[in-house]
Amino acid sequence: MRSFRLATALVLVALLGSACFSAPGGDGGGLEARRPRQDAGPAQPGGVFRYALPSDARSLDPHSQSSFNTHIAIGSTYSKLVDFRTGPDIPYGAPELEGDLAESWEPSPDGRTWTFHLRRGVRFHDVAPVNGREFTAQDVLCTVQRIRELPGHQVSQLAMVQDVTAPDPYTVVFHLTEPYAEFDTNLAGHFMWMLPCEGTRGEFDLATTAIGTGPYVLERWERDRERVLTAHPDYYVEGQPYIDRIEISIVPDQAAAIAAFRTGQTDYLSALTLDTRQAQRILDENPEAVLFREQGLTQTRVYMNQERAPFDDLRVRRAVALAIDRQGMIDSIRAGGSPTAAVTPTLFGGLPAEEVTRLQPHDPEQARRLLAEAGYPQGFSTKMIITDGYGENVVREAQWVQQDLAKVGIQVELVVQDYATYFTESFAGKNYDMGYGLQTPMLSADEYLSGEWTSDGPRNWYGIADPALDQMILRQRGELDRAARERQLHDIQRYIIENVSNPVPLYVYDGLSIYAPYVHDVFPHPDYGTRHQARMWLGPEAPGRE
Amino acid sequence: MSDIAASAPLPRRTVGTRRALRVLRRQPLGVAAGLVIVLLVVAAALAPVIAPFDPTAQNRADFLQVPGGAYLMGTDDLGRDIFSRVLHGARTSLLVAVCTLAVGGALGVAIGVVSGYFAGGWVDTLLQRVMDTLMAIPGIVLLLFVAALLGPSIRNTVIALSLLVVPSFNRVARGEMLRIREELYVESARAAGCSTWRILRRHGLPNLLAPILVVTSLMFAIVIIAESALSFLGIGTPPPTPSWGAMLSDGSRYMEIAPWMVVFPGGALTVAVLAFNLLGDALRDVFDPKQSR
Repeated sequence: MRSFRLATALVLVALLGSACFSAPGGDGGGLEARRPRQDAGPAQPGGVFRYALPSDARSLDPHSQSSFNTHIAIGSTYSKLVDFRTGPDIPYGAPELEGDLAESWEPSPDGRTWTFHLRRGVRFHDVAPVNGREFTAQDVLCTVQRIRELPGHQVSQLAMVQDVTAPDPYTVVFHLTEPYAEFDTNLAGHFMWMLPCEGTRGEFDLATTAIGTGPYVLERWERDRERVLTAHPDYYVEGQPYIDRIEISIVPDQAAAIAAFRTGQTDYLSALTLDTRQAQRILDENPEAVLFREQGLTQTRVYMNQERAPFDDLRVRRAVALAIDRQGMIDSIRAGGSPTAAVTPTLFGGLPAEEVTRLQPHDPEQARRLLAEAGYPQGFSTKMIITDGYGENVVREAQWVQQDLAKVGIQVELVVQDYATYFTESFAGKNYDMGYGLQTPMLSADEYLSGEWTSDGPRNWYGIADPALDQMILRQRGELDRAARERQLHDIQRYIIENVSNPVPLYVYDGLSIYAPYVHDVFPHPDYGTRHQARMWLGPEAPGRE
Repeated sequence: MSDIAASAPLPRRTVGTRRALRVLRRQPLGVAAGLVIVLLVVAAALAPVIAPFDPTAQNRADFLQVPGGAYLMGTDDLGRDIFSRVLHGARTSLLVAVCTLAVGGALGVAIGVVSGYFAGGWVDTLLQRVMDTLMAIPGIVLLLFVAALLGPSIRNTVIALSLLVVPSFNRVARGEMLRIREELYVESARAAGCSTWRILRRHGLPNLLAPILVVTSLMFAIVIIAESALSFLGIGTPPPTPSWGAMLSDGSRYMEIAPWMVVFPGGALTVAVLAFNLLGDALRDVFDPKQSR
């Protein structure tokens, strides 16, 4: 009897051992996107949509925070005048626009005056002090005024606006100082939410509340715990939003977020949470789940503080750029991606990936030579700020960069901070030597260049001050000839690689996100808004319908 | 001398040897635990020599390799050799534990001895209320608070953990000192006009060494666990320095895909903690006068 028990135990241990130590199934290389089924039938209203995000917003005020956390938090609460069109026939990240709060709009022939005709009968959420009143041109004026009064990235989006007027409650006219061909794209930018005058006048606290015209009303926000949104009954699109309620929990632990999805407690896993092997595993287990694999606009970046030695020396910055094996990182850590210069290659004016690779190869030899020339033949030691708020992949990437830099003699100590400290105190406060992280996926070439590379750029948190570069960036803004402008944009990026080399964009990567099979009509856009949630609906088998 | 010892070895055993043999007979588990600890210390000390790889070197062609072959315990999600990381992790754990117990232990014993000798006085009251306050805060909360305040680094981990262990040492030292100060030899020392400092040093400290040794062993286990907990939460040892807790945290993301990432550091942690606990128990029994006849 005793020996039988012993034998059973041994067999169990052996089984467990072999299960534990067998090779992982698949290396993730074969991950193919599974586009959603088109024939899911007519939308069925109702239900609760639940998902987890790894970190939370510090404040909901869109003009004080440029962090993605803030803008995805309010992305379905506020609306913009115009927004990006998405849908079954439109490729991910396409730049085409459609009216959101504006029904139609047109530029004057000289490109200096833009008129927007607002949708009538659009109502704000029925929350005090706005109380569901109608949205009018006055709110646009209030918002534009607030944007121009406060510092922040969004100012540069409206830098060319001379003044803005409202001839009647449903018409807004922007007069520009110079012809600007992409002004409507600027208004579709991440930060162009239309706030009610009550908010801009301070009658409610924009940092903790959001009262807008979007498809979802912010019912509750407990920072770092959860956000609860409920459908806006008077949303201007008839019948939408379909889903009654959205519950977003903040789960910093990746394993916990994945476990929640696998056990049916959430309906969606965001791109911040997944890496290839985990995605593969989830799909093997649940073949019905829908994988989205899209090349996003988010750049991974190494950046340096040029106001501090040794990064005030271009040769040192160039050495850092040359030391990093970008392609290796893409292949090993991400599901795929492509090298990028200052402007993401898929945007108008982006430098093609092949040229980026040619101008900025992986060349540790050259890096070591440059360091020696700069007076650091033995390298040097420094610190690099990172955050786990972007998910664990970014921490892995930072360790990869750390090792690449060690190979050319730069000893980097990683300083892991929580997201809010990292972004606001360290990065924006220029309180760092080096950093590694993700950059806001800007939606136009000019937004990247004016925001970060001009001397007075609102997101120039690197100490870049190059008058020649300022001139080049200014010049392309007024260029109306598309081909000429594209040439200028390319030249600017070549100049940045050779003469600034900071921040060093590494690559844009394929984001993986997974939806439960009962979530239908998901057509997101890489911009921070979450307006697409208004069109999503849940199948009858969704657990959120109970 | 040597020929006598050779001709009659058995009756000539020294007191020490006989005592050691008795301990071995009565405390086989404790001795085994002691051996495990010696092994652990040797492994940690010689980690750079034993480890086949640099613990932070990323073998970029070999992500998440199964144990066996070149990698005794497999590789992690950045292709680092887990065996080398576990060995160096022992280093981190022991280093943190030794530093913590040296700092926290010294502080705790000093406070306890002074407090015990002057029991009932205002010094005692003041010191003990401070200790009460520290003890009233749950350990993990105290750790999180201090570690989050100071930021992740090995030095700050030691500071946080030291605060955790001070009260335990203090209580034991104070209790012993309360007993010792009533002993006749202390009375006579006092009568002979010895200074307080001399009494504490010559009569106090040596006599409370045994219970302190027991506490140290038990606290070792607690500190190792606490260090791992802090690293697991990301506020202990910063990456990429190997630490068992941080390895467990990394591995937990791949628990189902690559279980060896958690099994080995987890196993090492379990064995180390168990060994220190068993050793502590054994030491307590050995030093307990009621048990040694």
